[in-house]
Amino acid sequence: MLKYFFQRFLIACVTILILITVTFFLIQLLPGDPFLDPKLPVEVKENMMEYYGLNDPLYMQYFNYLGNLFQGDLGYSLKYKNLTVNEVIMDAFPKSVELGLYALLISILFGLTLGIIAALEHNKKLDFLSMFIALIGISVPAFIIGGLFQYFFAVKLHLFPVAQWQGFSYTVLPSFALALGSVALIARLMRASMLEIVSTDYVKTADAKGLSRGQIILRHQIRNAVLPVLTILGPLLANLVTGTFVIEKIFAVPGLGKYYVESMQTLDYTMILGLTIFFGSFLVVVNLLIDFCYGIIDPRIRTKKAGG
Amino acid sequence: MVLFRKSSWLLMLLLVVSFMLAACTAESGDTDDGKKEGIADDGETEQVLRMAMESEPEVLDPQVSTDTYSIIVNNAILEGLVRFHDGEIIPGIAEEWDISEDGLTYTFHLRETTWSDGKDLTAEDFKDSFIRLLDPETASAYAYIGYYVKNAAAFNQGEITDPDEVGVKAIDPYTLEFTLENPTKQFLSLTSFISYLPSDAEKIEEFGQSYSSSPESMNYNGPFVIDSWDHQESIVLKKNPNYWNKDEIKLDEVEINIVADNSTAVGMYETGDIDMVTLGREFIEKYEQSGDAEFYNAGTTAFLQYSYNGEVGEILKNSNFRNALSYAINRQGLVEGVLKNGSTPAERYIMPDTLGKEGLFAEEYPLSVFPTENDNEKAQEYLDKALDELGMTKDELPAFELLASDRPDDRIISEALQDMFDQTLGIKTEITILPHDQRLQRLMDGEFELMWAGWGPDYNDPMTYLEIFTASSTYNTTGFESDTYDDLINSASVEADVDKRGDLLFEAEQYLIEEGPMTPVYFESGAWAKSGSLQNVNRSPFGAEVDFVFGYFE
Repeated sequence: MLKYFFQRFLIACVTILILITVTFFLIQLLPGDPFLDPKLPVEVKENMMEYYGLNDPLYMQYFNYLGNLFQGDLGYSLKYKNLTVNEVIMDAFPKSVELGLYALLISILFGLTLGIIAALEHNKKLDFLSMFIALIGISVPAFIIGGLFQYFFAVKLHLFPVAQWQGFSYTVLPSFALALGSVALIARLMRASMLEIVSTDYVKTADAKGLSRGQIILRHQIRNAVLPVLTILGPLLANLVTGTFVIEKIFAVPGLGKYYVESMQTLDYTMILGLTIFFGSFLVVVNLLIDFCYGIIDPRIRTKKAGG
Repeated sequence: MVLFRKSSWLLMLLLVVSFMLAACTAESGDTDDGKKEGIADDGETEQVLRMAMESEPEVLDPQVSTDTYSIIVNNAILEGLVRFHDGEIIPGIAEEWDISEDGLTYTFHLRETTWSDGKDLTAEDFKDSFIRLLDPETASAYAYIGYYVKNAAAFNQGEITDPDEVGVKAIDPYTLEFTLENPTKQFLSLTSFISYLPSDAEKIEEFGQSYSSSPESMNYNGPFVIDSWDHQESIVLKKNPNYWNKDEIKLDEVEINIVADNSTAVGMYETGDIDMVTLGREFIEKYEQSGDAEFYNAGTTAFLQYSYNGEVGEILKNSNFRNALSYAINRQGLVEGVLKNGSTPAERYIMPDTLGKEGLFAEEYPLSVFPTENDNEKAQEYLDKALDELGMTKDELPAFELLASDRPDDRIISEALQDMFDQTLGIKTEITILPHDQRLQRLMDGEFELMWAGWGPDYNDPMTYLEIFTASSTYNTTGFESDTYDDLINSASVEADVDKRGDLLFEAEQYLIEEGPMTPVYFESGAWAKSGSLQNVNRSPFGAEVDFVFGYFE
């Protein structure tokens, strides 16, 4: 078990290093530079390139960057020139996390509920209704959902603030808007998974043993059906908490997603790199943790790994 | 287990009901819920302005910053030698100033005042800040805004290293003198520009590159100070008790919210969360109908730009051909039928509100080259003449590429132009839409044929529009290089006599329209709405886009 995790950890480190390297050199292939301005005299631009170290040979820039990175320094942003990428992450990430966690909670709660109901009421009205809601969640883009939520619940009904991030009431609309897609995802997955398990041998055995339907559903069906859902929770969590540009933009949430998209558009090299590394590492770590949980929940994996 | 099923049913029911409830109440709320409610939400005596800005200031350090949003905020928290307000230059930290006969020496007499932390604000602060702007170590993008001052360019480009050789001197703590390279009419108004605002050397020493990234890491000398700053969320300004002119400042607090999405900002305005809002194109009509939309001059002249490079350039170089395109454009139709944002047809290049000799340039030198509506007959005549001169038939004309940015307005305008050229002249164009920065890159590489472009002013003088088409301008990648034009611009930039200078600039404008690589189409406007009780907040094409410094609630 320990050996397995050590291996996984090593692979994770290599993954991140490759990510850094590939991102660093890919950025250089993007057309243009961070100081694009038709008014800028050549000499002025030269001063800027020099100051931000962009005139150095590429390999030197790379090793400088790695050197600073190992000291935990992601450098100053090239757009927000007096903010470091570290400051930006420390400032914005907690807000993205808060939003993401609320959304995840909503996704799990509503997703599982819808999925279970749909499976238990297979091919009946409630099944269709649940799956219809799920279909809406999957097919309607977040900016439409977000916009509608905002229009009805905030502008028209005054139930919640229109936008911004200044307290709990501000989190409700963006959290639900962000969660809707994942609710649908989890609901469909849970339903499929539940239906598959109904016809397995151990469920039949349990039935034959004379267990009540409730016991079968709770102890055998749901517990086993939830495994595939757990697998996607890792990527889903990473996806939700690393910020989402559209929802953040619509609800004026000062999260990381906006910085990420903006940095690409303005070729803010240090910001793109810093955030990519941060997101990448985060995803890798979350996946490691999920592997942990997986082992704990499913004894088959645990023993298999221990044996191998 | 029965319990479990019951609760899940309940949840389900709750979900469905809440959705239905939302839908129903929303409909009934529709009728009685006007936007009136958003207005006059606040108490009348409370002088707190709440507004939204679509982006965070990139960097407030005045010598480093270049973006619109930093300029808006800096206009409120810093003050230059003079202040630009409502189209006029008014005294700032300088009480008065003398300009020498030859227009080369500007002497500013500063009032005795302090920074917000009580430290004396002196001529030395202004001098140090100006040298800092030019210092190659600062790597300021706007360093060239200082190039009008003697030896400024040389110092910035490393040709000289002694800052004392630069034409700025603190004669005594309250007298500052600038010596210029050439008489520069716009210099006085430039001293209100962001790059010329003072920064505090002690704080820079303390915070280094992080100067001005938080309320504590900068010093203020303007009407307001930053009270709190949540990045990407809000900036709260409080009245500066140490500001010399504090009695004229009526607002106690200004809350600037960062709201990237215009629909969101309008939503916040309608619920009364903010007191004024810029209106995106989809909201203008609705607000105009209710009489709540106000239009403001955005300062930009929007034009169709041509490239004289390559094979296609040979055709576009032909002035009759350009005239044909120009007369095919229905300018009135574009602004009234397509844009609907208060923009006006451009019959000339220089934006009408630009300052001339003493009054407005457009009044001192009236010019209307292009008709506001299309003249198909004339357009056809010009095209025939052009084809004759080029020795081509119409079928031999290529389909021109029309490059535009992905801004919604630009998309629509380029489609309208495409249609007009095709309908009137049978000239085909293919539209290429690119994101802002990529279009800019194509512009700077000179890789375009026709381009939908525009120019907003850096300062209030015709020169800001004209100088970008000289052969040496970094903007001019069109292949248009004219000694006649460059001579006119160069003569105007060293001319101390305002009348002669005005004449030269006017001649340059006419020459540019005739021979230059562009056709003006319209002068851009924008629309906004504000609470009825909010007074004296200005939107200006020059200086800060929004100037709320002297604003107040009735």
